[in-house]
Amino acid sequence: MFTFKKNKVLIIGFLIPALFFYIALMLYPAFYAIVLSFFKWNGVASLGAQFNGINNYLILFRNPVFWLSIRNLAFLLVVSILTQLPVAFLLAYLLSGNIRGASVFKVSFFMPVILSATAVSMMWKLILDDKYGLLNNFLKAVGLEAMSRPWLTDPHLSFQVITLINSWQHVGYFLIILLAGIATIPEELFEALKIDGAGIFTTVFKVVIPLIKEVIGVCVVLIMTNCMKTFDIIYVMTSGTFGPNNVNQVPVGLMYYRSFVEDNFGQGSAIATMVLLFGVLISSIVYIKGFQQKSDV
Amino acid sequence: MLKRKALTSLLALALTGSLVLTACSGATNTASTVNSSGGSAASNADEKVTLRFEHDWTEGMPQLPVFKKMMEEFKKDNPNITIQEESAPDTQYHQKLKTEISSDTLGDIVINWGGSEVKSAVKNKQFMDLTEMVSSDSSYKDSFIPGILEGNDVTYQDVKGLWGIPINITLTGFYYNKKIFQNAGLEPPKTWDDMLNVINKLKATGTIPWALGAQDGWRAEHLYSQLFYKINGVEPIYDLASRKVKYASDIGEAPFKYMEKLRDLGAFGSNPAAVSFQMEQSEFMSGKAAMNFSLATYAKKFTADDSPIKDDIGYFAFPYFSDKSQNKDDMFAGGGLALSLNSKLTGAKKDAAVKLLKYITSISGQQQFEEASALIPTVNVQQNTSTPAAKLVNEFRATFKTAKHYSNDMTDPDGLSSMLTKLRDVSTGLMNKQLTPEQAAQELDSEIQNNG
Repeated sequence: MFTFKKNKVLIIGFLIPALFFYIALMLYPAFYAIVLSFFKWNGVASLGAQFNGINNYLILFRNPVFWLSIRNLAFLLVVSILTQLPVAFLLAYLLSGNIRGASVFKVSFFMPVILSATAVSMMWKLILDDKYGLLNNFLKAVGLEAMSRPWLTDPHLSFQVITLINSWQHVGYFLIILLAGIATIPEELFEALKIDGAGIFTTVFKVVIPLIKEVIGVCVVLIMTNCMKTFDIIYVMTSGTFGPNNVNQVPVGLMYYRSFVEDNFGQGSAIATMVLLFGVLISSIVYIKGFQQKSDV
Repeated sequence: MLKRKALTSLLALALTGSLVLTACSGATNTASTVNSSGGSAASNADEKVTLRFEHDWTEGMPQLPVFKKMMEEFKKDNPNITIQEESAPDTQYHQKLKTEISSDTLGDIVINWGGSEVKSAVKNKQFMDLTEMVSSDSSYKDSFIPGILEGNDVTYQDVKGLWGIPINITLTGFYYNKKIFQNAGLEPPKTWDDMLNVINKLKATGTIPWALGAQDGWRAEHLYSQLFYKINGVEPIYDLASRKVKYASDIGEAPFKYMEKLRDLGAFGSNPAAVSFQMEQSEFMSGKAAMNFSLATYAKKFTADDSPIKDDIGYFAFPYFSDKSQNKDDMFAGGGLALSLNSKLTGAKKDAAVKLLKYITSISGQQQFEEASALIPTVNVQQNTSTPAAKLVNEFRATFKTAKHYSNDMTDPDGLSSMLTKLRDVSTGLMNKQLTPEQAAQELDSEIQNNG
């Protein structure tokens, strides 16, 4: 039998190269970004960074755009979980039954996931354009002009619209994960439930969901990490402005602007550090406390 | 079991977190290296030298064939000088510039747009101060259009020196559709009173008076900057940059108030903040809009063979305010592209680079760009009149010749790099009715205060 004790050198030998790249290309830059958040640096290596204490953080906390971006992120997180998860679960549950043409549905629902975020964003941008977009022109054609809106520039609407498009793109991914989770439930259990006369509510809420609780937990964490990294879809849909006037700004977008547009790498790193703390904290609470099954179960 | 799961979860979270952080730090830790091509010592006219020439003129751009031809001629006269071209399309070129400044590996001759993008290279003395080179050659110096060598793109208020030689002028003004004007019985406006009258009459005909893609912040900001110059003159931008004056003042708010007035009048159609720059040009080129405040660079596009308005296009200067006639000749214009030299150049290499720089930027060099309508020269050349685009650009140039003061984006002299982005954000915010003029001005002051 292949055990760790007997093959210690071989196993460690195979793990070390991967560990080296992980440390060099992931952990070290991440740590370096935290260090950089306490410095003032414009990106010119030879100019060097000047120690700036906690000023980058103070400037960040004074900036209303940062708080707006946090509010947007919170909205994105909540709405993404509340839309992506139930829709993905519902579709997964329906597709797990023996319905005809299930593969066609699976492929259709998964299609947006394999499209690049840029392509998806451009498509929706064209659909939702205020003057020349498909949606407003359709509404006009069917006599519902009163319902037409500047979907991507109305400050009260644009971020909600982008959030829903983001959900639309990712729902297929979680559908596949949940489908795999449901597939692990033995068929006999469903048959037994049927014989016992259990209704759909009991089957779903008392049996299916508790049995795939960990899978749902993974989905929640993945949705959250996706949300925290959301950048491209907003960047493309707002033509790189995150506006008008920053209404669609998210922390990663602000980090990009501070670092790569304004050459203020200290503040960019401070934002990245805040995103890291926020992400680790929320994901830990949600995953460890909320969804992990008890060890004695 | 629980411990192992917790460990796995933590590792997963650490991976997630590091993915976010890596995005920020990835481009930062570049080592400071010395450009190996910059260390030539002895100055000898026949010494073989290789110059790295960096530019963004790629296939399809009108500048490239002119540049190639010039290089061939230069090489014939200077067989000892080899020019190693490094070109990249615009977006990649900006990135290349940034990376090379960061790693101190800039080429020997570098095309750039000045301003905050290369300020760190100037501060760090990566660019050569060309003051001596220019002042020691009076005929070369005098060949430039007055004021262009003092422009915000090649000089900085806080770092004395001349950091590049401009080879293109940014010119702005109004394009208008002559046919629409004729049908409405209108003449190109000279003052803002005339302009308001024109806007009202065009609106009555169902035409969008003025195509403006305020969704792209720079479009709304260009309008703010130009209104600022016509209302306040160019000089107060230096007071704003030195913090002598606040944006939340008559100076800073007045242009915003005028933008608000135009917006509410319907000058730009129903919702300019939903219009992108691309759509702005389509609206104008399709005849849906009658006027377009834009750059002279687009004359070629508007007069191209496939342009629906190629026979109807005209030009007029940005109107002035009758009660502010002292600022009539203050305008949005200035150097828009410059050639800079690497400060590490010495000896024969430096001589060769200076020779090449002068060759391109001299009257005979820039004349070749003029003839191909590839650039708007910064020296007095014989103007090209062979194409409709060239004729149109000459009209822009005629206005520029009357300029008393001029500047590009009004935040150019500002030491805070985020001010241009902020001004663009709030200008779009105002056009989108998110901000009042007072709030827009206050947001600019807050940006200064928060980063002070």
